[in-house]
Amino acid sequence: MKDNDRCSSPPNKPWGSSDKKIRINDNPRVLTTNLTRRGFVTTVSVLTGGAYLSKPLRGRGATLVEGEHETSSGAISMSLNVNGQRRNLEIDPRVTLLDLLRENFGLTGTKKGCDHGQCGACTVLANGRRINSCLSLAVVHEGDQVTTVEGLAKNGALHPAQSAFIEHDGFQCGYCTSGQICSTVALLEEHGRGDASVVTTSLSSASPVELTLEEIRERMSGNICRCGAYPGIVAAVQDAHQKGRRAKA
Amino acid sequence: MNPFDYQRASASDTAISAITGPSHAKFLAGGTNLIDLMKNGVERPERLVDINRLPLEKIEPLPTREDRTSSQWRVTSRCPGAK
Repeated sequence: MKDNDRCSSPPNKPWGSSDKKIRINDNPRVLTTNLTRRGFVTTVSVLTGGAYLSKPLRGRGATLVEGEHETSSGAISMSLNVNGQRRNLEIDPRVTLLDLLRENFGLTGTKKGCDHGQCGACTVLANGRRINSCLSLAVVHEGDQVTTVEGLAKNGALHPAQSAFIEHDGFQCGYCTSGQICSTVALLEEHGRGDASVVTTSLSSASPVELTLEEIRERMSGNICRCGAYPGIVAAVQDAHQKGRRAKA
Repeated sequence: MNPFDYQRASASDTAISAITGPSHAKFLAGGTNLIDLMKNGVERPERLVDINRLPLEKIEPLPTREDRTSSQWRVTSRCPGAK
């Protein structure tokens, strides 16, 4: 059999042919719909949990409600700003900011890597500060400005950090990349403020800390990459830093 | 994670009184340790008192030769007077 038959029907079946590439959707036995897994789960939850619509289901549900009050179901009413858009909602206090962004707001650019605070794939900016959203309760962010990777581009133009990652091949599978980019944005802000890191040799120097490769590696050490795209990542951070300096000059 | 009451403290004294009481309560600041343990069922507080809004971001010298430090300090917080 030819290589392109790997996805096709088994041999000796009336459909399919070794001459054309068969996709799974062409198989008459396979029903394809536009229903995604997420859509299916949501539909089932709504149908079976009609009585619980006002009560979040294990943190997955949140109804959009105006106003500030604590409901009898234990959900907390809150409001926060995500990527420039104000969101009012009722949420189970156990819901993490990561799950709120991904499951409730559909902002799936931020990824759940370890859900444990160790990988950094969930990095977002809360009031400009980078945090692991998997270890941050959503309710804590009342009134905060949260920026995800979806909120970095302005007026259709990529953020310099985003274009730097593309130009310098700062990713392979891309799963850690949204966290890497958000971290980069915050890193440059921290460096611009004069924040020191563990590898900074002198805290008393009057001049700004130089962003050496060692400094970049240390400051990005909270974001790991299973693909090992680190050389590209470091180069991208360097380039984003240079772009920022040129923009200010 | 176990269900818990969530309370946001607006002042230090109300935070302290919220912690003491019949239910098992814990302060919540950055939460990177506590939330992780709660996710794994190791910590099961019945109430969390969020102290993130309290103005506790200072390190101040005390007359008793000790410095009062802050629960609000993050790993990433700036060190005042360092530069």
